[in-house]
Amino acid sequence: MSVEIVMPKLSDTMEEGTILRWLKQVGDQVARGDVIAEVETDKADMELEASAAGVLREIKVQEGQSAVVGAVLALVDEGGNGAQAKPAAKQEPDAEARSSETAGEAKRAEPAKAGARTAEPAKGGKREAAGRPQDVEGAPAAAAAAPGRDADPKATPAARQLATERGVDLSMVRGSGPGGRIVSDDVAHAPGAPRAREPEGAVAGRQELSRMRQSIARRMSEAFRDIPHFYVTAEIDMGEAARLKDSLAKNEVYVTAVTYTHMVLKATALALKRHPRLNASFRDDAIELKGEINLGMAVAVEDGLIVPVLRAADERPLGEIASEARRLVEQARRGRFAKEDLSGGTFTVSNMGMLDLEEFAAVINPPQAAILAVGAVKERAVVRDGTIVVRPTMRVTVSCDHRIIDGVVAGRFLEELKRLLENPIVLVVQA
Amino acid sequence: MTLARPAETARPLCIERLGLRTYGETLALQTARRDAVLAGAPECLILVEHPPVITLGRGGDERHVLQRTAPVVRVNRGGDVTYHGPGQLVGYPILDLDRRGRDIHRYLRTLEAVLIDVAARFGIAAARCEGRTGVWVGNDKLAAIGIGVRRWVTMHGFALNVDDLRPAFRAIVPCGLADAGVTSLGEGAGRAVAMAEAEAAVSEAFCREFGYDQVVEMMA
Repeated sequence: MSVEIVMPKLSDTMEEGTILRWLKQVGDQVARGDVIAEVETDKADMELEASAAGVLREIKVQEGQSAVVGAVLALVDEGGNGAQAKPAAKQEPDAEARSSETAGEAKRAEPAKAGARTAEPAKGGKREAAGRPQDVEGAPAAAAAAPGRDADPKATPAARQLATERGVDLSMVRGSGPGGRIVSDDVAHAPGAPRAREPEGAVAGRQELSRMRQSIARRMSEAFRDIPHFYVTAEIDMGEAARLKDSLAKNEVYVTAVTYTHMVLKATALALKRHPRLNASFRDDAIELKGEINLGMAVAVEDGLIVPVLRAADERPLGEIASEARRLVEQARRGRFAKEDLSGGTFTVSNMGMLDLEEFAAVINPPQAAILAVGAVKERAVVRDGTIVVRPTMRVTVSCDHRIIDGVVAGRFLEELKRLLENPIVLVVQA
Repeated sequence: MTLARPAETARPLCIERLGLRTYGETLALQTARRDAVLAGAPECLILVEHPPVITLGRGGDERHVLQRTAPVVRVNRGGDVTYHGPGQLVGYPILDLDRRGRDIHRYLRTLEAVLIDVAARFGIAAARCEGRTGVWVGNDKLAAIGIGVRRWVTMHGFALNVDDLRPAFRAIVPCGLADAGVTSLGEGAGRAVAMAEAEAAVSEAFCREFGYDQVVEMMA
């Protein structure tokens, strides 16, 4: 599949930008995040990064040319196997690309550059000069190297429209109109190239990803692709925890009010101490057991997620966990935190207890090996000693990396967590 | 028009005053600071004077260099050709526009506002000129602006003429504009302006326009 690299919107008032130079050439391998071009608007020079990995298949707007915001600048073939042999799936109407030089000059320079590049690997210095008037010489000769393909064939507007709709590459169509002009009929009878995209819902608007979103997208893709996840769920009776919570609040035992979340954090830390395999990383075909229990707490912020880290959670008393967790969450929401508050996590707790949900499963936060997803405490009908009673319960699901954790290990961890939360006095007494 | 960051995320602005330092050395420092800001370090403003050098923006036209009176360097900023030399205060703000609404034009306009504010402190009525980024007194350029951006973190910035630099500027067509001249704070104020005085004015105006109330100064 090919991905379009478009002219980014660098300002609310920006209408078009100029390609100053391409740092990658057609046929080059590009990685996501590679700087592939420099774009100028006003007196600002912005580095354009590839939004996809693969092979740069086509450059549609040449150096020195301008294009409107959103116009397709280049196509990247994802994966990139034998991609160059494929015909362009979609021919953009040329109307988008405007040249600051005369259009004819730029057009002629285009095949010349493509030809020159196969002959000699372009050096940075050489490219600097490309596109300058003196370089345009020799263009017609080089253009002859690509016979039968006209980069910009003559076609009627209706034919162009139809070609765009059907994904037909106009340069591959023989025109039957006056002077070889391509008419709608020629496009209709052309062997249709496969459509670039499946028909999908209309796009209401495109939004650039924030840096945080980009990072989430990358990390979560990697995690879900590389880590064989499996999930184990337990239902925990929170009746005793509720009583303890009220009692702590009533007697003002701790400065910061203790919540279910804080008890879950404390219980998780103690359970991890007993089951260190969940507090580990899979790295270089080995299991790295962590020397500390540092709990990441997934915190929702505007269009994103931040995971501040509560350090040495197993060694802190419950009251300290409550105050530290509160501080970290508040700072995360304000976007104000020290770097060390966000790094070094060994296990993550994702809590959606504030929402009226039953249970959910989370994606592991690499390089960690497991993550705990916490649902809401709700009154549920449960069976105790053969009778149905109403109890406040909470469902938790642990997602584990099956490369280093087996089902029974995850199950034992959850059993321990359940035991601790159902006998929560242990959380106050222990450390 | 200000480009202040949300108050709750405010951290001090680090102002680094380098004194006289070569263009190349400062470029390396800028790059290091930019990478640091990308990694979460506090934003900073580098203030420096360069030995004579002619720089060309990425899209700059070499034909606008009339005489090679100083080394010519091509750099990753927008804009055409400009001259830097003693008597000119150069400022390189390394700011994260991701936290300021991702608007490059608004950033350029805010830089202009800073420099107009500086001029006003010396009794000079400077202004913007539609379509010509920079700060002008009549038809003469008081300060040039050109920036480079990676992942919304800025580099390069502005060059404010403090002393009369007209002889030096004869070597180039400033910013590729054949019909414009240059002026300076000294000329506008009708007195000699010390570099330290200009630095103080720029620091204050910069903090005001960009919403900083705390400054950490670092001297080279």
